[in-house]
Amino acid sequence: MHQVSETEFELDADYIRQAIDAEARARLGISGEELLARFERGELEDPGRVADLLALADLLREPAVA
Amino acid sequence: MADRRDLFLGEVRRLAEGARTEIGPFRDLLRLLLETTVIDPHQPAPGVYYARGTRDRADIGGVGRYQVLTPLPLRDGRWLKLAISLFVEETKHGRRLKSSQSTFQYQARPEPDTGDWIFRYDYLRDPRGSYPPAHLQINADLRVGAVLPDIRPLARVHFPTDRVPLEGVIRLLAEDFDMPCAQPAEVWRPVLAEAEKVFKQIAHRPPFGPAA
Repeated sequence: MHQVSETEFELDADYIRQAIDAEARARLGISGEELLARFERGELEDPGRVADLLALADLLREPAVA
Repeated sequence: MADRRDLFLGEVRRLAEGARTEIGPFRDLLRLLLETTVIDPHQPAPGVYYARGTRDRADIGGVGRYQVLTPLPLRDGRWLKLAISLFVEETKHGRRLKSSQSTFQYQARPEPDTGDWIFRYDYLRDPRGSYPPAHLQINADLRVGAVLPDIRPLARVHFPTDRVPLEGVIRLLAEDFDMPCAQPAEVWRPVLAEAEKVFKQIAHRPPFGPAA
Protein backbone atom coordinates (compact mmCIF):
# COMPACT_ATOMS: atom_id res chain seq x y z
CA MET A 1 0.00 0.00 0.00
CA HIS A 2 1.38 3.37 -1.00
CA GLN A 3 0.15 6.44 0.88
CA VAL A 4 -0.27 9.39 -1.47
CA SER A 5 -1.64 11.82 1.12
CA GLU A 6 -3.31 11.67 4.53
CA THR A 7 -6.46 10.16 3.03
CA GLU A 8 -5.33 8.92 -0.40
CA PHE A 9 -3.74 5.54 -0.99
CA GLU A 10 -2.72 3.33 -3.89
CA LEU A 11 -3.22 -0.42 -3.60
CA ASP A 12 -1.43 -2.84 -5.88
CA ALA A 13 -2.93 -6.14 -6.92
CA ASP A 14 -0.75 -8.26 -4.62
CA TYR A 15 -1.70 -6.20 -1.57
CA ILE A 16 -5.39 -6.44 -2.45
CA ARG A 17 -5.28 -10.21 -2.97
CA GLN A 18 -3.41 -10.71 0.32
CA ALA A 19 -5.85 -8.49 2.24
CA ILE A 20 -8.86 -10.34 0.83
CA ASP A 21 -7.26 -13.71 1.51
CA ALA A 22 -6.38 -12.90 5.13
CA GLU A 23 -9.87 -11.57 5.90
CA ALA A 24 -11.66 -14.39 4.06
CA ARG A 25 -9.72 -16.95 6.10
CA ALA A 26 -10.39 -15.10 9.36
CA ARG A 27 -14.10 -14.54 8.73
CA LEU A 28 -15.22 -17.59 6.77
CA GLY A 29 -12.34 -20.06 6.93
CA ILE A 30 -11.88 -20.07 3.16
CA SER A 31 -9.25 -18.56 0.88
CA GLY A 32 -9.76 -15.24 -0.84
CA GLU A 33 -9.76 -17.04 -4.16
CA GLU A 34 -12.56 -19.34 -3.00
CA LEU A 35 -14.51 -16.39 -1.63
CA LEU A 36 -14.45 -14.62 -4.98
CA ALA A 37 -15.20 -17.83 -6.88
CA ARG A 38 -18.27 -18.46 -4.72
CA PHE A 39 -19.39 -14.90 -5.26
CA GLU A 40 -19.04 -15.21 -9.04
CA ARG A 41 -21.08 -18.44 -8.98
CA GLY A 42 -23.78 -16.76 -6.89
CA GLU A 43 -23.10 -19.23 -4.07
CA LEU A 44 -21.84 -16.83 -1.44
CA GLU A 45 -23.99 -16.94 1.69
CA ASP A 46 -24.78 -13.46 2.98
CA PRO A 47 -22.46 -11.45 0.71
CA GLY A 48 -23.12 -8.30 2.75
CA ARG A 49 -20.95 -9.74 5.50
CA VAL A 50 -17.96 -9.44 3.18
CA ALA A 51 -19.12 -6.43 1.19
CA ASP A 52 -15.92 -4.59 2.08
CA LEU A 53 -13.85 -7.46 0.63
CA LEU A 54 -15.96 -7.49 -2.53
CA ALA A 55 -15.33 -3.75 -2.82
CA LEU A 56 -11.60 -4.39 -2.58
CA ALA A 57 -11.89 -7.09 -5.24
CA ASP A 58 -13.53 -4.55 -7.51
CA LEU A 59 -10.15 -2.79 -7.72
CA LEU A 60 -8.73 -5.89 -9.40
CA ARG A 61 -11.06 -5.62 -12.38
CA GLU A 62 -9.62 -4.55 -15.67
CA PRO A 63 -10.92 -1.18 -16.90
CA ALA A 64 -13.79 -1.56 -19.38
CA VAL A 65 -12.79 -0.98 -22.98
CA ALA A 66 -14.96 1.68 -24.58
CA MET B 1 -27.74 30.06 10.86
CA ALA B 2 -29.06 30.79 7.37
CA ASP B 3 -25.63 32.03 6.29
CA ARG B 4 -23.98 28.83 7.49
CA ARG B 5 -26.64 26.71 5.79
CA ASP B 6 -26.20 28.58 2.52
CA LEU B 7 -22.44 28.22 2.75
CA PHE B 8 -22.74 24.44 3.08
CA LEU B 9 -25.36 24.27 0.33
CA GLY B 10 -23.07 26.14 -2.05
CA GLU B 11 -20.25 23.74 -1.27
CA VAL B 12 -22.53 20.73 -1.79
CA ARG B 13 -23.56 22.02 -5.21
CA ARG B 14 -19.95 22.70 -6.21
CA LEU B 15 -18.73 19.27 -5.11
CA ALA B 16 -21.74 17.47 -6.56
CA GLU B 17 -21.01 18.96 -9.96
CA GLY B 18 -17.42 17.69 -9.83
CA ALA B 19 -18.58 14.34 -8.47
CA ARG B 20 -20.42 13.63 -11.71
CA THR B 21 -17.08 12.86 -13.36
CA GLU B 22 -14.30 12.63 -10.76
CA ILE B 23 -13.59 10.53 -7.70
CA GLY B 24 -11.91 13.28 -5.64
CA PRO B 25 -14.91 15.64 -5.46
CA PHE B 26 -17.18 12.66 -4.72
CA ARG B 27 -15.02 11.76 -1.72
CA ASP B 28 -14.99 15.41 -0.61
CA LEU B 29 -18.78 15.51 -0.84
CA LEU B 30 -19.11 12.42 1.35
CA ARG B 31 -16.67 13.96 3.78
CA LEU B 32 -18.72 17.16 3.97
CA LEU B 33 -21.93 15.20 4.54
CA LEU B 34 -20.34 13.14 7.31
CA GLU B 35 -18.53 16.04 8.96
CA THR B 36 -21.67 18.17 9.15
CA THR B 37 -23.53 15.27 10.72
CA VAL B 38 -22.55 11.99 12.35
CA ILE B 39 -18.82 11.27 12.08
CA ASP B 40 -16.59 11.52 15.15
CA PRO B 41 -14.73 14.84 14.66
CA HIS B 42 -11.48 13.48 16.12
CA GLN B 43 -11.07 10.74 13.51
CA PRO B 44 -9.81 10.87 9.92
CA ALA B 45 -12.38 11.33 7.20
CA PRO B 46 -13.06 8.58 4.65
CA GLY B 47 -10.10 7.82 2.45
CA VAL B 48 -9.75 7.01 -1.24
CA TYR B 49 -8.08 3.74 -2.18
CA TYR B 50 -7.06 3.82 -5.84
CA ALA B 51 -6.11 0.80 -7.87
CA ARG B 52 -2.36 1.26 -8.41
CA GLY B 53 -1.57 3.31 -11.49
CA THR B 54 -5.06 4.65 -12.11
CA ARG B 55 -7.29 7.48 -10.94
CA ASP B 56 -10.37 6.08 -12.67
CA ARG B 57 -11.14 3.27 -10.22
CA ALA B 58 -11.20 3.47 -6.45
CA ASP B 59 -12.88 2.47 -3.22
CA ILE B 60 -13.95 4.93 -0.58
CA GLY B 61 -13.99 3.93 3.07
CA GLY B 62 -12.50 4.43 6.49
CA VAL B 63 -8.79 4.82 7.10
CA GLY B 64 -7.26 2.51 9.68
CA ARG B 65 -3.72 2.08 10.91
CA TYR B 66 -3.53 -1.55 9.85
CA GLN B 67 -6.58 -2.09 7.66
CA VAL B 68 -8.20 -0.55 4.62
CA LEU B 69 -11.92 0.27 4.49
CA THR B 70 -12.05 0.23 8.27
CA PRO B 71 -15.37 1.24 9.94
CA LEU B 72 -15.77 4.95 10.69
CA PRO B 73 -16.30 6.04 14.31
CA LEU B 74 -19.52 7.94 14.90
CA ARG B 75 -20.58 10.56 17.44
CA ASP B 76 -22.65 8.08 19.46
CA GLY B 77 -19.68 5.79 20.09
CA ARG B 78 -20.80 3.31 17.46
CA TRP B 79 -19.43 2.74 13.96
CA LEU B 80 -20.37 2.94 10.29
CA LYS B 81 -18.77 0.42 7.94
CA LEU B 82 -18.80 2.26 4.65
CA ALA B 83 -17.36 1.00 1.38
CA ILE B 84 -18.19 2.42 -2.04
CA SER B 85 -16.59 1.17 -5.24
CA LEU B 86 -16.30 3.78 -7.96
CA PHE B 87 -15.23 3.82 -11.58
CA VAL B 88 -15.12 6.44 -14.30
CA GLU B 89 -16.63 5.54 -17.65
CA GLU B 90 -16.81 7.28 -21.00
CA THR B 91 -20.47 7.20 -22.04
CA LYS B 92 -22.39 8.68 -24.96
CA HIS B 93 -23.18 11.55 -22.61
CA GLY B 94 -19.51 12.05 -21.80
CA ARG B 95 -17.35 11.11 -18.84
CA ARG B 96 -19.35 9.78 -15.88
CA LEU B 97 -18.49 8.61 -12.38
CA LYS B 98 -20.39 5.46 -11.46
CA SER B 99 -20.65 3.20 -8.45
CA SER B 100 -20.40 -0.55 -8.86
CA GLN B 101 -21.29 -1.35 -5.26
CA SER B 102 -21.81 0.17 -1.85
CA THR B 103 -22.34 -0.98 1.70
CA PHE B 104 -23.40 1.02 4.75
CA GLN B 105 -23.44 -0.93 8.00
CA TYR B 106 -24.26 0.62 11.38
CA GLN B 107 -22.55 -1.40 14.09
CA ALA B 108 -21.84 -1.37 17.82
CA ARG B 109 -18.22 -2.45 17.60
CA PRO B 110 -15.25 -1.37 15.45
CA GLU B 111 -14.30 -4.75 13.95
CA PRO B 112 -15.19 -5.05 10.24
CA ASP B 113 -16.78 -8.47 10.80
CA THR B 114 -18.47 -7.86 14.13
CA GLY B 115 -21.61 -9.82 14.96
CA ASP B 116 -22.89 -6.69 16.70
CA TRP B 117 -24.10 -4.95 13.58
CA ILE B 118 -27.49 -3.22 13.68
CA PHE B 119 -28.59 -2.69 10.09
CA ARG B 120 -26.97 -2.84 6.69
CA TYR B 121 -27.79 -1.45 3.26
CA ASP B 122 -26.02 -3.11 0.33
CA TYR B 123 -26.06 -2.34 -3.39
CA LEU B 124 -24.47 -4.26 -6.25
CA ARG B 125 -24.75 -2.93 -9.78
CA ASP B 126 -23.91 -6.37 -11.19
CA PRO B 127 -25.25 -8.84 -8.62
CA ARG B 128 -24.79 -12.61 -8.45
CA GLY B 129 -27.12 -15.15 -6.92
CA SER B 130 -30.70 -14.68 -5.80
CA TYR B 131 -30.40 -11.61 -3.60
CA PRO B 132 -32.01 -8.29 -4.58
CA PRO B 133 -29.33 -5.97 -6.02
CA ALA B 134 -30.17 -3.37 -3.38
CA HIS B 135 -31.39 -4.56 -0.02
CA LEU B 136 -31.68 -3.93 3.70
CA GLN B 137 -30.80 -6.35 6.47
CA ILE B 138 -31.65 -5.85 10.15
CA ASN B 139 -29.87 -7.73 12.91
CA ALA B 140 -32.98 -8.46 14.98
CA ASP B 141 -35.48 -11.16 15.85
CA LEU B 142 -39.09 -11.33 14.70
CA ARG B 143 -41.62 -10.89 17.51
CA VAL B 144 -43.91 -13.33 15.72
CA GLY B 145 -42.75 -16.92 15.84
CA ALA B 146 -42.74 -19.73 13.24
CA VAL B 147 -42.60 -17.37 10.28
CA LEU B 148 -39.14 -18.01 8.89
CA PRO B 149 -37.29 -21.30 8.48
CA ASP B 150 -34.98 -22.05 11.41
CA ILE B 151 -31.94 -21.76 9.18
CA ARG B 152 -32.89 -18.23 8.15
CA PRO B 153 -33.12 -15.79 11.04
CA LEU B 154 -34.43 -12.31 10.34
CA ALA B 155 -30.87 -11.01 10.03
CA ARG B 156 -30.44 -13.19 6.94
CA VAL B 157 -33.51 -11.78 5.20
CA HIS B 158 -32.64 -9.39 2.39
CA PHE B 159 -35.47 -6.84 2.13
CA PRO B 160 -35.44 -5.37 -1.39
CA THR B 161 -35.04 -1.62 -1.56
CA ASP B 162 -34.37 1.07 -4.06
CA ARG B 163 -30.80 2.25 -4.01
CA VAL B 164 -30.23 4.05 -0.71
CA PRO B 165 -27.50 6.72 -0.67
CA LEU B 166 -25.35 7.76 2.27
CA GLU B 167 -27.65 10.75 2.74
CA GLY B 168 -30.53 8.38 3.54
CA VAL B 169 -28.45 6.43 6.04
CA ILE B 170 -27.26 9.59 7.81
CA ARG B 171 -30.84 10.85 8.02
CA LEU B 172 -31.96 7.51 9.47
CA LEU B 173 -29.21 7.64 12.10
CA ALA B 174 -29.96 11.24 13.05
CA GLU B 175 -33.75 11.07 13.05
CA ASP B 176 -34.48 7.57 14.36
CA PHE B 177 -31.35 6.54 16.24
CA ASP B 178 -30.94 9.97 17.89
CA MET B 179 -27.38 10.30 16.64
CA PRO B 180 -25.94 13.70 17.65
CA CYS B 181 -24.89 15.80 14.65
CA ALA B 182 -22.16 18.40 14.24
CA GLN B 183 -24.54 20.98 12.78
CA PRO B 184 -28.12 21.77 13.83
CA ALA B 185 -30.95 20.13 11.94
CA GLU B 186 -31.74 23.45 10.25
CA VAL B 187 -28.40 23.07 8.51
CA TRP B 188 -27.91 19.33 7.95
CA ARG B 189 -31.44 18.59 6.73
CA PRO B 190 -31.20 20.90 3.68
CA VAL B 191 -27.59 19.84 3.10
CA LEU B 192 -28.61 16.18 2.88
CA ALA B 193 -31.63 17.05 0.75
CA GLU B 194 -29.50 19.01 -1.71
CA ALA B 195 -26.92 16.24 -2.06
CA GLU B 196 -29.65 13.63 -2.45
CA LYS B 197 -31.28 15.66 -5.21
CA VAL B 198 -28.12 15.34 -7.29
CA PHE B 199 -27.80 11.64 -6.43
CA LYS B 200 -31.32 10.97 -7.72
CA GLN B 201 -30.53 12.67 -11.03
CA ILE B 202 -27.59 10.43 -11.80
CA ALA B 203 -28.02 7.23 -9.79
CA HIS B 204 -28.42 3.83 -11.37
CA ARG B 205 -31.77 2.36 -10.25
CA PRO B 206 -31.53 -1.42 -9.87
CA PRO B 207 -34.45 -3.82 -10.21
CA PHE B 208 -35.94 -5.20 -6.99
CA GLY B 209 -34.78 -8.73 -7.70
CA PRO B 210 -32.38 -10.76 -9.82
CA ALA B 211 -32.94 -11.28 -13.52
CA ALA B 212 -35.32 -14.16 -14.19
